[in-house]
Amino acid sequence: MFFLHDFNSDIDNDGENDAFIKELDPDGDGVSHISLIDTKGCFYNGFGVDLDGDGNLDITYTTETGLSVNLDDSGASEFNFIDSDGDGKADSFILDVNGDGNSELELYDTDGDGHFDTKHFDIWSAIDAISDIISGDFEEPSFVNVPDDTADPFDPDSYDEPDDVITSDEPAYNTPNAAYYNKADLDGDGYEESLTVDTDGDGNVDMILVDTDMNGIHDTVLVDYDGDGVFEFNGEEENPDSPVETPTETPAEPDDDIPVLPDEGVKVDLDGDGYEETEMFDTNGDGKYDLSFVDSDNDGYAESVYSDNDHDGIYDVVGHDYNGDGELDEVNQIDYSDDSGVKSVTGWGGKNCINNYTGDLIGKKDYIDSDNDGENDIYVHRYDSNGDGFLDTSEQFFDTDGDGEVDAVIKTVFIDTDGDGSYDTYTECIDEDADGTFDAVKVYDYDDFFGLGDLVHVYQDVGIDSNIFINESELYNAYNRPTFNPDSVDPENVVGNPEASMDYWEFQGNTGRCAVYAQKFIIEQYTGQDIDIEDLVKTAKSNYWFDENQGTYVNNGNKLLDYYGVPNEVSYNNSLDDLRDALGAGKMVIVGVDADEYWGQDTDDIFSPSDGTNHAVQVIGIDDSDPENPMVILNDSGSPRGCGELVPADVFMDAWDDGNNRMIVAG
Amino acid sequence: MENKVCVAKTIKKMKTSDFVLNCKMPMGYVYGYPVLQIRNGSLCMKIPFLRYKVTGKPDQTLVFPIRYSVTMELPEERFVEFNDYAYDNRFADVDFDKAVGLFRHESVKSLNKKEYEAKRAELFGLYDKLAASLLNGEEFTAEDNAKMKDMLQMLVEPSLLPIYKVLDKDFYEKYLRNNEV
Repeated sequence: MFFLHDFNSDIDNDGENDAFIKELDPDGDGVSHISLIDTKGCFYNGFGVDLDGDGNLDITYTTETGLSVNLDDSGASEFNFIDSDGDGKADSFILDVNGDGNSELELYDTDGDGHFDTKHFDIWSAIDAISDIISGDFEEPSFVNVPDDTADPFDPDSYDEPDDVITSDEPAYNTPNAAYYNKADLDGDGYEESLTVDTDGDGNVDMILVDTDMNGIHDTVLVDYDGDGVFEFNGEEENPDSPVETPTETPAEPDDDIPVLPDEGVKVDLDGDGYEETEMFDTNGDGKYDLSFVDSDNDGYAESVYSDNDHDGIYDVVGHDYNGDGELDEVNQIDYSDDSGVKSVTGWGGKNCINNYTGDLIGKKDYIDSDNDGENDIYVHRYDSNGDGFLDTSEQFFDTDGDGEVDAVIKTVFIDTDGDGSYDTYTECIDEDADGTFDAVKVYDYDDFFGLGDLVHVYQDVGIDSNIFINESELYNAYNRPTFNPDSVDPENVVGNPEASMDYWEFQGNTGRCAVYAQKFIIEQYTGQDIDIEDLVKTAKSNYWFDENQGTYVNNGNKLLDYYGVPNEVSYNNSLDDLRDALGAGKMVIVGVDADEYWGQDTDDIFSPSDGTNHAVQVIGIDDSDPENPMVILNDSGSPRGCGELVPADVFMDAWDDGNNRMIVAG
Repeated sequence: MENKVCVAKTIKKMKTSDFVLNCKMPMGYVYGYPVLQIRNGSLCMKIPFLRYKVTGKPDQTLVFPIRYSVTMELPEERFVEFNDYAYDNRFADVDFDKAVGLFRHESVKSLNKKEYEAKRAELFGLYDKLAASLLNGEEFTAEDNAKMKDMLQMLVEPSLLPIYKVLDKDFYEKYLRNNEV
């Protein structure tokens, strides 16, 4: 036995990798027949068997999805046994005879006694994915798909039992197979003759039942199969006052809008392989082809159909026949619903897929009845948050008590934290009480190939790395304050001796050493010594005045001055005149400021929600050349242009005020 | 004698009080929106401290977790407690050096600095009114309460809500929890 290879796999053919698979080749013939499946990312919880060696798993089992059989490789299981509660007994059985993705038969063991007691038959599964027959008692079926006089005329599931319909326009995700309908008086005569129905809950009416003779019984039905707003089917009941017989075939009475195609269209070989795979039709005779069938595998049958419904020269409906049975399995339509350019897409066929106009999947919605009680209790919305074509974000809404209200939310997001184009982080944010606040956040390492990795953080971390946003060159470009030029001013207008102090300035780099540097400038100027910054840092650290990660504690901003014997005094609530007095007396001054206020970053739209000191700088002078607009001159170690940095006095005062105008006067 | 509370002034004084300075919170930690509490019949105000980092990009000011809090009794402004949550088991998995969110968050994206500060001042006014009600029995109507709730939900950064919930579940439930979600 040897392993062929390990790879991620999309078991359910929904375009998303949902398992990590290890293939086994027991007989060493180079063809794997058995695969071990890992959907949890940490242990094998399933297996798959390729009976015919065609590379497609014919039988799969996982603890999550149960047992599935897909013998025709259509991607849709013909039948599924599902053990949703993990008790070892299958509690639901789903049969999709024609592999169209809609089940024709569903059996449920609702009471967990090991016997199926509920069944749904969906005879019209190709059209409406709505159960036509529901029986709550498997032993004694009580269904009859025949209306009686008291039947609700709109009851496509069972004329004995009303469907769980929702009258609101809001989709109620806790109701399976629900049709959302509204009564309407479309002809404005005061009688609500119509029932407008949104069978797939996408917000668009795709069926209208009409009681044209106002006798209380609907006798006409309009159906918009492809959701383009045009009702292709306009059917009238032959005997509206009689019981409806179970239809034996899909009604397909075309209306005038559906083109009657000639036997042959124009065939072309667009891919240049010598086979005319594309057959085009001009359905409205305007000289432009607006319907194309494409036989991409050259087997004589078209797998895809493209339709330009609005005849604007752009195909806006795409259909696919995945299993080659001649019937479209999925039809996606682009509906340019407004002028904003936002493209919305409706899916049809029960897949609830959302695609952009190129056909790329940008979102998917799933309603799940996890406990098989007949009511959907989980709604999952997966979407592509950043437009890269990968469904990187999902939101799962849970209705744990079945009251129709969301009780819990889990949001998962794939993140590429290092910007290399590959997702490397997976976060799971849990809002356990659906109050809009995540109660727990889990962060995992993630690898495109190996999938989920180690749990990195628990409870709190939203994956924002503070360094992601810091591009040094960009950051320092923001520090665009002008600097003092002693040659351009009259010294009589300058308080202090900024030119002398500027000789001692240094840039602190991307460190939190501002207070250490501010004291360094003064110590060196006062003592005449050159002192290595690392010596100062070491001294500060060893005395617990400073921490590399946290910076300097506010009330330790003068400890190094003390250490090196520089006399100093700390005070608060000082004014600009107090600064002038200190500088005028030849003193050296350190102040605490909110540097964001003057580094050009704290603009009207870029600011911090609070105010406080985050930086220490040396004030080396005040330039009163313009008495109406004095400029404060700084030795600011935090900016690469901080040597003699000029800040307007009013801006400086705002920054200084955030620290209650704290001042250390030294010397 | 009437006990008058002015939260904005109290906080400004508190920033450079000996007690707070001796707590040795590093430079850069600033106050967040306070939590009013009744402790054994006394009105207290817990003021959280956290860091922000302006990156120079709009709406990408980094928000770091609340690391400290200082609690004072009102109206006396007597400090009764200091907490460093790095030593609190509930925060064992919190990385205080890692940002947890961004500012401006959605509900304040349309506010410039002046407008935001005005809203903050307005909210502090409501704090004062609530404190006056609790201390002196002055009126604090249901509308005032609703407004305070609305303003807190607007101004408090969503990324900090889990921590507020831990700091004071009652205050969180009353004012910060968004029941419409």
